[in-house]
Amino acid sequence: MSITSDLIRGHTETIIMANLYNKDSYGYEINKAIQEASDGQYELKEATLYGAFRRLEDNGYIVSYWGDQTTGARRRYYHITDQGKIYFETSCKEWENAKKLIDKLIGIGGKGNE
Amino acid sequence: MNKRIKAHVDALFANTSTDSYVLDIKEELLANLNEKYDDLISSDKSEEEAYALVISGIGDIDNLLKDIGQSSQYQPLEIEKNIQKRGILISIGIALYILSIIPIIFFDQIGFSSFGVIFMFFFCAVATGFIAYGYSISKVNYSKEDNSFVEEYKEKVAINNDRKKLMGAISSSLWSLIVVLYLLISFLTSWWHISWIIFLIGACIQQLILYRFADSKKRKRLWHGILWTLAVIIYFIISFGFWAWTWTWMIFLLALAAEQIIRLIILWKKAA
Repeated sequence: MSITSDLIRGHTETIIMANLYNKDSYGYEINKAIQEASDGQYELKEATLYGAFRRLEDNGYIVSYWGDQTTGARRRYYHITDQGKIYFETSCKEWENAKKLIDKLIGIGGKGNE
Repeated sequence: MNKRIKAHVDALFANTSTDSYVLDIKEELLANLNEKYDDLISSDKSEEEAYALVISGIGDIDNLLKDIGQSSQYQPLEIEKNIQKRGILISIGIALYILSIIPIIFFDQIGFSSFGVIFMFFFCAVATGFIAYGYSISKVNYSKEDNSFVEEYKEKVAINNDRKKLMGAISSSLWSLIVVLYLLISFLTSWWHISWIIFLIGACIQQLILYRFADSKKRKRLWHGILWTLAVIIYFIISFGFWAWTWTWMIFLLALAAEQIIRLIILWKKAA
């Protein structure tokens, strides 16, 4: 994925918070969900994922805790905070606005989807 | 827990500190990677495919490490150690140079002034060794920015340069040492007419050192030099030793034969 991945990368945090909105999750589960939702077209790199986790956690939008696995390595779970939920909703609205605006700008010349 | 994955992650985190938050990230990464690997295996991917997919999915963790205050390229600590080592070696060298005058003064007092000169050269030889070696330690080891061919090439050039500097260091100390030995032996035994052979021996040793450091391409050319220098040395030693100049020239025939034998052995090894 070329151009699109740059576009998506700007919204990585929003995408992650979407996955955490209704239930807690961990790295690989979020990654898997993203891959399935994009029909295998988009893969989030581990490095990008962890960078986003850190930023979100530093800003207080998510918190992390270790799971108590009986087998294998411990999993690090993330939970969205109330602050995070507000930030998520704001980001969603911003994206809607941006989408409408870009569609309008692209449609100026009369080309583009009508 | 897949061993190869763990080894790869260990390598990625090789230059990081052992702070708890770093270890946390490492542990989280390993857990996610292993789960991904297991999933891939159960969806009928081969071990190789699964491993490749897992590793390629990691992405570039350099920015991540920098964000948390680590450096995955080289620790500033390593550079400091290099600079310190360099400084110490060069200072010792300079100190020895200054001290080299002492033998002259000392030996002059007891009347063996020629020994004074010899010891001065000895000090200078050791000093040169220290200084040359100190200079050969580069301050920073070149580290690749990515795995492209350009970076790999630059890395090879850097390693080559370091090796050349080290060779230069060894050569200069070798020759200073040879001069010392020459003067020492000559003064002690007064055999000025043969002690010059030491310089031939020095040339031979230099070739051997080059051979040890050289890659296989250069080695093909080098063993010639070593063989023939050795032949000349043996010729002169035996000639002077037994004064049998009439037949010692046959040594060169032996060397010729040895050369052919070695050539055959090399060909045989290649064919094998």
